[in-house]
Amino acid sequence: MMVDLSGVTYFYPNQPTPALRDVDLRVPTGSFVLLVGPSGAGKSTLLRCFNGLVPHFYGGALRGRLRVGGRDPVAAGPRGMSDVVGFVFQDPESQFVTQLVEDELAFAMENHNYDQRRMRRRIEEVLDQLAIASLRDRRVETLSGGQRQLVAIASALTLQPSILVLDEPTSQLDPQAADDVLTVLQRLNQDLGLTIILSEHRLERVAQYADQICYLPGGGQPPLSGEPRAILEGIELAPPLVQLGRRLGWRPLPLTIKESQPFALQLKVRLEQAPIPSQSIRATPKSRATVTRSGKSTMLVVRDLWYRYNNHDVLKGVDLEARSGEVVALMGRNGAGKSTLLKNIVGLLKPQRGSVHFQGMDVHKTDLATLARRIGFVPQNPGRLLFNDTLAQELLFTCRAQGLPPNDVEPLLASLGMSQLAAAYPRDLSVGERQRAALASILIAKPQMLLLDEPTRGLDYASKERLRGLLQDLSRNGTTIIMATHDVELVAQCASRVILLGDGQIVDDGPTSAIMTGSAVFASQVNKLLRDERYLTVDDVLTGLGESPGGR
Amino acid sequence: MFRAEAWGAWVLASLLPLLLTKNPIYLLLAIFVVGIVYMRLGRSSPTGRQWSLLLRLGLALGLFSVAFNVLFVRVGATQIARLPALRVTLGGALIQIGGVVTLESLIYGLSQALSLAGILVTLATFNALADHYELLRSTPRFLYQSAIVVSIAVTFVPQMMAVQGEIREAQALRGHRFRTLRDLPPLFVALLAEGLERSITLAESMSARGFGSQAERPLPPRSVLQIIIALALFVVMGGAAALAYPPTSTAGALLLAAGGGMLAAVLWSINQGVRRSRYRRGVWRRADSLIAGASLLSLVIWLGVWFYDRSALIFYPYPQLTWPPVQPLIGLAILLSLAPVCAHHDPRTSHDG
Repeated sequence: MMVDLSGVTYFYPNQPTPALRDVDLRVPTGSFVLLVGPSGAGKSTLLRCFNGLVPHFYGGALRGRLRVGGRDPVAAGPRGMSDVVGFVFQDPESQFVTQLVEDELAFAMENHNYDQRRMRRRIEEVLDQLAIASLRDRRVETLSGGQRQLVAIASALTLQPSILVLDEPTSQLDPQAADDVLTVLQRLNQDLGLTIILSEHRLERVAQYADQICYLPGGGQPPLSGEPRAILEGIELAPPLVQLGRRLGWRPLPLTIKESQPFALQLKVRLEQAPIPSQSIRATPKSRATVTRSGKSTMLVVRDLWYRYNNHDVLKGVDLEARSGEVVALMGRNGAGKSTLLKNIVGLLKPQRGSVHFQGMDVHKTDLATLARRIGFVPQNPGRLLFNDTLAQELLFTCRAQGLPPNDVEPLLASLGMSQLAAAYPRDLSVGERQRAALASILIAKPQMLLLDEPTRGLDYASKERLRGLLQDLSRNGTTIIMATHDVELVAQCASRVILLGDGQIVDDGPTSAIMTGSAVFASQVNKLLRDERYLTVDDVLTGLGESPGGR
Repeated sequence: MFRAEAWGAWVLASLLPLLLTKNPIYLLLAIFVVGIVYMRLGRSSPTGRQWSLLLRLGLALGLFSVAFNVLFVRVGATQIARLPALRVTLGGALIQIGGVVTLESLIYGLSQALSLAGILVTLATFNALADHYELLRSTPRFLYQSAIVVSIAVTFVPQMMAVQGEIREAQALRGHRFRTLRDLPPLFVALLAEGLERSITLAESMSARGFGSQAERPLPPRSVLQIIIALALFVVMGGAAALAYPPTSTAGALLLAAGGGMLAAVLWSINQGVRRSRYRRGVWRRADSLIAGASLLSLVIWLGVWFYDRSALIFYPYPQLTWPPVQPLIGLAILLSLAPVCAHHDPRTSHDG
């Protein structure tokens, strides 16, 4: 066994309840293990047990027996485990020590006193294994998100560890970059027999690669571990394809589009034969667009927007309009200009050319305080907003800052599933919980337009489901929502329109169903399977079959 | 471009005038020289943007220094304005804010501002030009662990300044306005927390890759090390205090050296067993020798003047402003910091490191 944990219980310092309770886990050599669970269930904590960062780095009390790669991580400590366990963190940016890629790769080997020849050989090997030889002389800050993550993986591999542990390595990547990283991991696992353990929320990206899934339910319940199909059969968290398979009784339960193809043929026939219910499945693109554009007032008008940064045109003549109650998804690869467009819309950045008008106001001639009362902006990193002692105070701070009477925070927190966290210190929350806390601190002021930059980063399926419900409620009440996101499933569920950005220009703009069906990358799992504009989500299919959505 | 050690010598030589004198002519000349080096060599650096951030920070601190001097210091013979006076009692003492503004207090505030801004601009230029990791690798083994902490701290400042901008934006869009000191917690608390979180991730990442591997030999007892460190710090503080008074400055310098030596010995003792290798072995070229040589010469001149003719460095505009003294030798010592520009111009000595 590469990993053998039995009865592992861990308490963070001064915490009455354990972050991990009675965890038993056995990972055979060469396995690909996926660690899943709701936000705050202890996934990152468990991963840090493998190389001794827990408890060496965080203190606290750890009980139970741990053997990883034949060593005891508690006795060896992180440094002693560094040649056995390679560790890759969630945010590649904050884990780099040096400025050049090649130096970064050498760092661990220098710490282990390897001779220069050996270091050179290892670096060449790793560069080839990950196909990143072209990056060797680059400065790390010039790399894209996907390239940074590959370099982070490479720098963990130079010591030739037996296990590679990754904490949500694709959470900040666009679908293509995430696929690149996961493909590399799969190759390392299959070609080198490297044991891989990674945590991930977006199971649709990674479930097919796993030999074993370990599910941490949180709340002090013991984990479940086993073969992916068996685990996904019984847990609430599951990718859309698995949800559909469970609901329609597909056996063996498919994990990939390829495995679903035999079922898809039958499903298409059933959908054609099923009487279409009165409440339509998903309005046809044309009629949907007409409804959206005819019935609602225009809230936002962007005309010929150009924005230049560091001698590079990040936005090149962007034109767009958004109407009251519309949910618009901005999609495109990392660096396409999504966040820059949002910041221009909210007035944080001033374009070199073009204009942005919100409800007739020129946002670049309006002061930020006035805009803040109308437009809510949730940045990509929720830590930029959170500073108060409790979550409730965080929300009340927004009310005070905008001169609003103190609102009752409870209903909003309840709608985001955070009632029990009202008194928690916001920065102690998990990544997903922080994301929701930041959203709550903006929504409490009831903005007329909401701009979200990667709102589902670190969110589990349940949290995403709550977010979806909330966004749909806001949309029904007339709030315009524009979100920059890589999360195709969220877009499929709640966006009425998708704008695809590429190299600072709008490549495509249209109803979600049409854009997804025409795209190989920015499409939901269900749509990839059926390639039909009417079916983007599991609910669409169930409605099409005349079955009631939900309960899967 | 040039070896990190050469840049290390350059930054020491460029910082010394800014630390040792308040003479505005020398300070302006030093800033001018550093500015030329940056404009000629550093503007195309990927970290060039951080230079302007640090320059802005330097200007802000400088303005604060000028305002503080003008508002609180009323010494000086040349009255140039009169501000409304406000008297407040603080801890039993009566403090006057505003009132008479003198040319001397304004000039002294400006020279302090130049010193502060100059230090930041010099560090920013060093940051933009030197390869920190190369510098780190070239530190003696026993100082490696300490050096990496310093290196990361140096690169952290500009990173955190960029984060500070993002936090300001995010809080402003929440409706918060930064008008008084009481409005700053949303900025500073978030910035502090962000900085701590980044530090923890970086430290985790370093530990997970074997940084600070265990010493081969057992360390001296912890209590012994603690006593020696405390003693060394005491000696350093005593030396620094003695250095401030001319009659005891030589003894102060000796004490500082002794304290520093004790700290170095402790570090050596802690780190001597740590095994570590170097991936890159850079080549030392003529251009590096030119920069290092010019910088060492500058350092020697400055230290010589400091020990043997300190009055040449002193600028004190009170009670009546006089023209600051200027010595060509000191001017030359400052101009030696232009060596990187000269070395870069010479095709026989320029290289790509």
